[in-house]
Amino acid sequence: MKISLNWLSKYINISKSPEEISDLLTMAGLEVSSMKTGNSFDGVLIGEVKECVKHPNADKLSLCKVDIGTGEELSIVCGAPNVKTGMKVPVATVGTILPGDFKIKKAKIRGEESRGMICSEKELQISDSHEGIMVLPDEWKIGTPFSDLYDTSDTLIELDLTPNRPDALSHIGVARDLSAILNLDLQKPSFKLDESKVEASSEYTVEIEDQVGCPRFAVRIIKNVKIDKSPEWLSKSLEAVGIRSINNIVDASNYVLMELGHPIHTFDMDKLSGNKIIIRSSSKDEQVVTLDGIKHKLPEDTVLVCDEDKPVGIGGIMGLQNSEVSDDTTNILIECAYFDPGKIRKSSKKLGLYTEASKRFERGCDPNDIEFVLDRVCSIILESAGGELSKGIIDIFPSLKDKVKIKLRYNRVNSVIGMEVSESTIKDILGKLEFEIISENDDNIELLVPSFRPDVEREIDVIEEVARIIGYDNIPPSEHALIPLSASPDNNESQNIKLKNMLVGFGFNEIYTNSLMPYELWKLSGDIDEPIRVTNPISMDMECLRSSLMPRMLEVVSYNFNRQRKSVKLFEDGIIIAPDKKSETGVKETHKIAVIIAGEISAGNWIGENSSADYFFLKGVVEAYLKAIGFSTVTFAESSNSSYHKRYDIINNGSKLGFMGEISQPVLNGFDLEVGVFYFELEVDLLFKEMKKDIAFIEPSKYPSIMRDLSFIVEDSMQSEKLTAIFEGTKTDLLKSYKISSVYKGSPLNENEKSITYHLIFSSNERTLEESEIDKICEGIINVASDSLNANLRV
Amino acid sequence: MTLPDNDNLRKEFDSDLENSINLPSIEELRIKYLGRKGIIASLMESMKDLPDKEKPVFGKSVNELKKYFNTNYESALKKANSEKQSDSSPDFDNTLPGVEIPLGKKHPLTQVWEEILDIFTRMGFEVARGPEVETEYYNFSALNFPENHPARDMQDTLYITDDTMLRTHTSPVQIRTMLSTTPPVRVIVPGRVYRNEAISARSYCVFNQLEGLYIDKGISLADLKGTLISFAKQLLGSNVKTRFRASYFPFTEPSAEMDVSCIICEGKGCRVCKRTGWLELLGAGMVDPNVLRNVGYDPEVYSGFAWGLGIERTTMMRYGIKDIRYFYDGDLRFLEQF
Ligand SMILES: [Zn+2]
Repeated sequence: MKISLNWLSKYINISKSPEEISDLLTMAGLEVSSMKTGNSFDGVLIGEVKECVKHPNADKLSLCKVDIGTGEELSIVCGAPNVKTGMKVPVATVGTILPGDFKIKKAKIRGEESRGMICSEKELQISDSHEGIMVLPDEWKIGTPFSDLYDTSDTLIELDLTPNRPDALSHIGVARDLSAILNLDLQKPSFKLDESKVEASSEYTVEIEDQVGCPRFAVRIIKNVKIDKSPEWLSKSLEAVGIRSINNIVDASNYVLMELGHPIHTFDMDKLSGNKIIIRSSSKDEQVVTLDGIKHKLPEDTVLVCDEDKPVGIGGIMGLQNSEVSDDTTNILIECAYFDPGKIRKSSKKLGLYTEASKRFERGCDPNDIEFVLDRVCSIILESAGGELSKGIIDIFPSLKDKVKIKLRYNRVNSVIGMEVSESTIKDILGKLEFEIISENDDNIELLVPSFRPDVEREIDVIEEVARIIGYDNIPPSEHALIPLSASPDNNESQNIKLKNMLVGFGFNEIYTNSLMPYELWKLSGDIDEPIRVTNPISMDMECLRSSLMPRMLEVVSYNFNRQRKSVKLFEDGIIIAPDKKSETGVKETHKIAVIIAGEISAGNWIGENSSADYFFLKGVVEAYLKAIGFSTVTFAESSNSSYHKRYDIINNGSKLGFMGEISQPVLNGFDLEVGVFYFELEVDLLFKEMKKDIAFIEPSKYPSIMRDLSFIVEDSMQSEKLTAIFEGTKTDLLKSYKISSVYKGSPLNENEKSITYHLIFSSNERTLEESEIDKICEGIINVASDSLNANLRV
Repeated sequence: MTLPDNDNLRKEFDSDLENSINLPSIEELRIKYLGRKGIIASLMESMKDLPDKEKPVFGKSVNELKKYFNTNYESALKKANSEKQSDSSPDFDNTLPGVEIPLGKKHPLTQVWEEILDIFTRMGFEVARGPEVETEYYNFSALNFPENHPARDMQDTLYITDDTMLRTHTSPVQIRTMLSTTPPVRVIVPGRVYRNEAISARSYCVFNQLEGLYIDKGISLADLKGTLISFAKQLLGSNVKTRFRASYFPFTEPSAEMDVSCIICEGKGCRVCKRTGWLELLGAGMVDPNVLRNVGYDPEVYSGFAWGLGIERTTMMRYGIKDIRYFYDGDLRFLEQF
């Protein structure tokens, strides 16, 4: 909503600067999104064109001699087609800075000197008109500063209004809020109205069939109007708030719309059939052509304004072409009505037709200002277009609601706001906002809510009005609001942070990816159940919800490889969503943490080898990660999914925590990656359940430990875990650790053999160990390996 | 009688030793001759195929060779090490970079969230979370969004079915929390929310919100201000100025927006704050009595406030990031800066 401060000053006498006014409105909930103050036009003077001849070198330019009262005539090259000798014009002299930081300099244009510029309205940013230079009244005196004669002091503010405030979609509404904030009087527009002797009700009748859609409908009739240009004050007022002037009838209703906020529609009475207006609901498949010439198929249950033959308007949204006011219109019927907000909103949504009228009706217009609005618009039409106003209003209101009554308790105001507000302050504020006090006692007042405030329905809404006008900034903040309870900060949150800290410690970067993706990308997840889809996606690229974090993460890997990264190690923590018929919403949401690895393990170093991530690096990360968060006994089980080349489920105590795998080549094909990509994901809620929170501390031994390396030769096809199980099974508590230190294949071993070397550490917490006892333990192990697995010690 | 070819092996070793001038090449030497798969190891290995009576002689020969290799290797190693450690060596190049240790970083949104979590945890708030796919009831109706009302246009919704949708805000978790607990309630709710908006520098169809809710007896607008001013000062520094503007949200009454003085220009007015000197940090308000009634709380007994902020917006404000898409592109050149 655009508000002109000059316009506003017709209703309220404010002595504040535009900045202060804009600040007050913003603080009271009418947010000012921009403010444009008129220009000062320093350096622009009134001039007279003394001579005007064609430019010798350019057809479309003129050479002018302009008198600006300095005694010397200026030579100015002018490109406007309308420039003529004898015209009074605005002249920007050399050195002037025009709006838009355009500095006027002495120039040579096609060889001719030009010392200044004759300005168009657009160049002065008065309007968008660039058809020619601005022609000023003859009586304006040469040499006078332009700003002395041309009223340029207006400031335009743009309000970004919340949907609860239809009343503020008008100058009077904004003025009313200011009158409450500043405790000033509000002057409503006053006017006189001459009626003819003819009774309007003898000429026309109104019948409301759809009483739900249209609780009130009123018309007035004016005959013998003369359609013409609007008077200057009217067209200027509208142009100031960005509305194009059309003619004196249309402009009058637009003016009242901007002034009072209630939409009005004017019909050419001679284009209406019969002498009755009927308001009904549309039936199936009705079609109409609106004012803008567009044909619409109406949704059922749209409120229609009809004559005795046909629809002539979509109620509260837009008039129809068939009854439009045109240049030869003489008799007019002026409508002002109250339509049901819900119905208007539905129809306007279905039609895709959003108008100044529908915007106000769907938020709720004042059902009780209709007479005043009609009188106001008629007074302007009579003044600007003449004609005779028939006597009286034809006004039907079969189902008008009573005004809302609210009891306001003073102590409730204080307890909600958290400060003492005096009774007189409360009454002053509410009085200025036009709440009517119908009864009062020591503790409370009973109020009648003005009908232009459909958002105020309850006591709390009135309290908000009081708080808003006092200004939230004038409420002292409490200093003692929060005394911690025995708060138990959510354990899962700190666990979740720990999960991420570990990965950060491993040198992985966290990413966030879009949960919405195109179907083609989703398919890379390899999931079998179809994804959850959005029924009204922004575009097909945002149609499916992720059922795996992998596809988007893979995209990010590729994004970074395309930017010359050689080492990409990422993780994401997020929700995946998959179908689940049993749930309330039809979906199952699972919290995952996932890691993706590609390329070099560490970035390029000048020393040492830069080895690339491979499957066992992935497995190492998984094992280290799980160990770090307290899972030391996970097992792996081969699992399959078309998107992974090697894939193993990660299992803890029989429950599947997640999986790890190498992403298969067909999936990578779309990404132009020349390295293997490795991925694992874990289900966070399961990790929370089992994550080790208590640590059982074991005292490190004070005695020296003994190391041994044992290499076994086994069949190549044998899985190492079988051999490892033997170490696990040893009965001694002296064996503190055993791990594979190398695997060897090739000469001198036979082709179908490999050797696995274990590095063993023995120690005791009670004593120094003897070499011989360790030899004995090793012998035992060697014997078991040889007996059960036919594994022989490599000498 | 087979014996190892000690003479030739020594020659080979000597020539390799001559070329072993730094630590890595000395290590290569060790692996080749003394490593687990080295020459000595394989000679030992081959011994097991010999007839038993030949083994001792062969073994002795291999041991001699091993001793030769070991002695020379160790002295070469020591020499190299001492050279490396002598800083006075004129050839030492300390301008070479150290070994690069890859660093991991948390996403800037996570960092800001954890900071906010920390502030509110100290104030006695707990964390609650809720689903991303919501029903019409939790996302709108229970939050006092009238049906068929322009208020619903404030949030463009992505629908899954006619009455399930991707939540447009974290506020449904307010309802879920209040339905499952008795007052007092003090929670903060982080999470992803969705809007039907095209992706641009200023908007993204997915973003992270942080919701807060405090319900108890006798909570007022003054408490709302006290709490949120304290939060803003902890997050943005004690010099930050705040202001509260009247606003509108269906689920709060009175409703407010809280601005903080522009961090870029410190309130003087710049392009980022559109010359106002202020930046919007969060929306807040006293929980609407209808919402309290919807969850079975008596609004005459209990009152409280709620607020919500966008973590992306807050992070952008904090670091002067002008394009929201950076958060979701995963560009390491961006992420590594935080
Ligand atoms: Zn600024």
